[in-house]
Amino acid sequence: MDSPLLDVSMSKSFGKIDVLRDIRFRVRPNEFLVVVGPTGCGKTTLGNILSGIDKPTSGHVRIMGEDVNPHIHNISYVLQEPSCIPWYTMMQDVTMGLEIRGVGRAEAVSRGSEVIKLVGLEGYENYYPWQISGGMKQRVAIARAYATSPDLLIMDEPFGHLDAQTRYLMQIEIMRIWEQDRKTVVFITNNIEEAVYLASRILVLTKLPATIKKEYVVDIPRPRDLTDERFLEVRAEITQQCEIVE
Amino acid sequence: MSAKKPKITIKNLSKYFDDLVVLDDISFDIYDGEFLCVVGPTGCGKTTFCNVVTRLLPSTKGSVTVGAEAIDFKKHNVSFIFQEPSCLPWRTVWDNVKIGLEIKGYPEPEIRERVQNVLEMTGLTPFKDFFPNQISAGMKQRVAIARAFVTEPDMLLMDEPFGQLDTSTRFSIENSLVRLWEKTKQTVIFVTHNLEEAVYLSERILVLTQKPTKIKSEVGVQHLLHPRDIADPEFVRIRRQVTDLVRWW
Amino acid sequence: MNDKQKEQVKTVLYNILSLIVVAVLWTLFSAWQQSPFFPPPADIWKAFVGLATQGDIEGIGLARHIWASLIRIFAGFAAACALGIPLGLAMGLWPKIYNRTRAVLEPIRFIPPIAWIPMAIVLLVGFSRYAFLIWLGAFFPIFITTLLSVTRVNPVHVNVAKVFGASRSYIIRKIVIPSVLPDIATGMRVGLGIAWMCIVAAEMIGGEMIGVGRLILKYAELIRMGEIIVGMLVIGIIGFLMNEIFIVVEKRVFRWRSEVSID
Repeated sequence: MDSPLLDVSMSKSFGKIDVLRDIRFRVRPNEFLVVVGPTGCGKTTLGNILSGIDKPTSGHVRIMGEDVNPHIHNISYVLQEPSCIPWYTMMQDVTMGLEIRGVGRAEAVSRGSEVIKLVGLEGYENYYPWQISGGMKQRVAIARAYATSPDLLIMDEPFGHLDAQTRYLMQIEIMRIWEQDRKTVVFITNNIEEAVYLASRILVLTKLPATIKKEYVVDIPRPRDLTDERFLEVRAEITQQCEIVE
Repeated sequence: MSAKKPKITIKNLSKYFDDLVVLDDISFDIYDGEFLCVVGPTGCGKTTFCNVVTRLLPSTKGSVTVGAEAIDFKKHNVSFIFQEPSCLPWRTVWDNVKIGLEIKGYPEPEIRERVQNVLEMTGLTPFKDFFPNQISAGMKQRVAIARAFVTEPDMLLMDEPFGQLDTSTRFSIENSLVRLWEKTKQTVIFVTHNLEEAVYLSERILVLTQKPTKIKSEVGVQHLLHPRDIADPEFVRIRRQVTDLVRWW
Repeated sequence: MNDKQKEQVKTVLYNILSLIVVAVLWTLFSAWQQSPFFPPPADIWKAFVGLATQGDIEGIGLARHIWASLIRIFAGFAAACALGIPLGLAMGLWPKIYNRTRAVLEPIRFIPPIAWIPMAIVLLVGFSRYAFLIWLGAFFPIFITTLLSVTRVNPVHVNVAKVFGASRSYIIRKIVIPSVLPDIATGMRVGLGIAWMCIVAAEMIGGEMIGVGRLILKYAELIRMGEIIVGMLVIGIIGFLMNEIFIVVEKRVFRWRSEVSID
């Protein structure tokens, strides 16, 4: 792959425990990459390293040729836990990243309105987290992530705490948002159906110590149908690859 | 398969919270040994439904009868698997599973035999002396299932018990549940948001509406043999049908 | 040696280091001050040895003082548990009783034990004076913690038993009580600590000449700082040890409460 956006080749251990071993992959610009693996296999550690919060024990993680650095690179990280600041309105929350980077108030609000509209929450700008549902809170997190126009968007099981149907809604939403503004995304999940629905490419991780077991290119045209024959085929194949954890 | 005679009859069940109508005149029958799933859109009051059917919450109108009698914890054998983790943390797996039999006053030798059997069937035997804080979330729900089945209940209600589990753990525990049900043939009401899960597990699916919640429709699934294949065309057809009935997104 | 053990050893070493640093600073400070009111650690040690072997100015040994105080504490503490735990449980299970009597209970709760001293002197004699004051210190933490622990019982656990047809008595015995025991233990530990801190106040007004609090007061009259500091340190160290032992017992008894280890 020439000029990848993200170039990863690293391992990570905590003390004597190897969590990630020889993780090697590259991500093209505007690609939607999904990393699939059982819970507890180090997926969150991977997310932390890709976003620059944590450092690998050996190897490198490079964005556009340079080692990942939150001060240089524009990375957004959406987590599983609801991350809305309880005392901020939606607008304040969404513009938080911009303010940290020193963007002026007027410009921040303008961009904030744009992304709030993008995620379909127009009209809720002055609402507080306790006034909105779980699905809406995750949409706020996504809006906040998009507001800074990131080079790389990392999402770690962002729909994990939502019920099955809200999850379907959010999957459709994220696809709609991404089609409008194709960021480079690394999306981490344990849900294979979700992975096949969203991904351009899927990487399957093993249990601890996690390595990349297999790679799949998903060339089903979007928007995808969860009950389509080809969809179910791909899903079954990948399910077989993943080990069942108890 | 299921007998024709209804085991549990729910008639005109309604629940109001002051002016808010949550459940609106719900009536249906459940047959002996049947695995019934209840699904509905997000926010359809399914937890209220569970609490009212098991009488943890009194209904505003209507009745729930087993045979001809109104359902009563002390008389009838009811088991409820909650959505939240419900293992008693100060009891081992063994002591957790036996609590229903303990409350109902079964003699010790019978308790030992039953608990041993159900632990075998749910794969928990090696963990019988462990405390809940030493086992995974999936295993904790298996304990809840074992605890619910061991009393051979007249009605076993499950409120989205696998909602908080990992997908792979979920598949494995769903298979265990089906195998356990096939062996013991308990009457099960399984409430969930996950439509694929509903089609995977049940013989019959009831679809609820948004609040004020009524029964919208019923879908029969008993013609699909276990273990079911989520890619099988008939499975897919039924899943689509249920999705269309529930779809609000 | 693995990482965890390394960390434990480091913690112990750093603690010892902190003690040494304090001792050194203290020695330097008292050398600088040259005042009878700041005896160096060496003098304090001498005073300690003196009290332990020969006893105080009346010949009563340190060990006897400590023992007398401990007896008083445990008496007051036991009485506080005997009343505080059942009352806390009752008010927790029937919250209306608590809510309707708060106007009486809460103001009493905020009266510090020391303020009770005049009343204790007038109405009580001998051992009961000590026990009463200590009881006051321990009772309220135990009572309130027990009461609040009942409100924190997980309703899901109660429902598990309810669905199987359990009687109210069963639920209280087998669900509520095991749920609240860890919180009650914490309340007891806190209560014991506070009770121990009341020992000086209690021994100020009690009639007898023995007790660590009394020891401090004896030497306060003589302005012998060495012995006073020994008394203070003895009280502090015993309080610390009681707390640590309690915690160890709690961890053992309630091992079902420890961190989750996912297999």
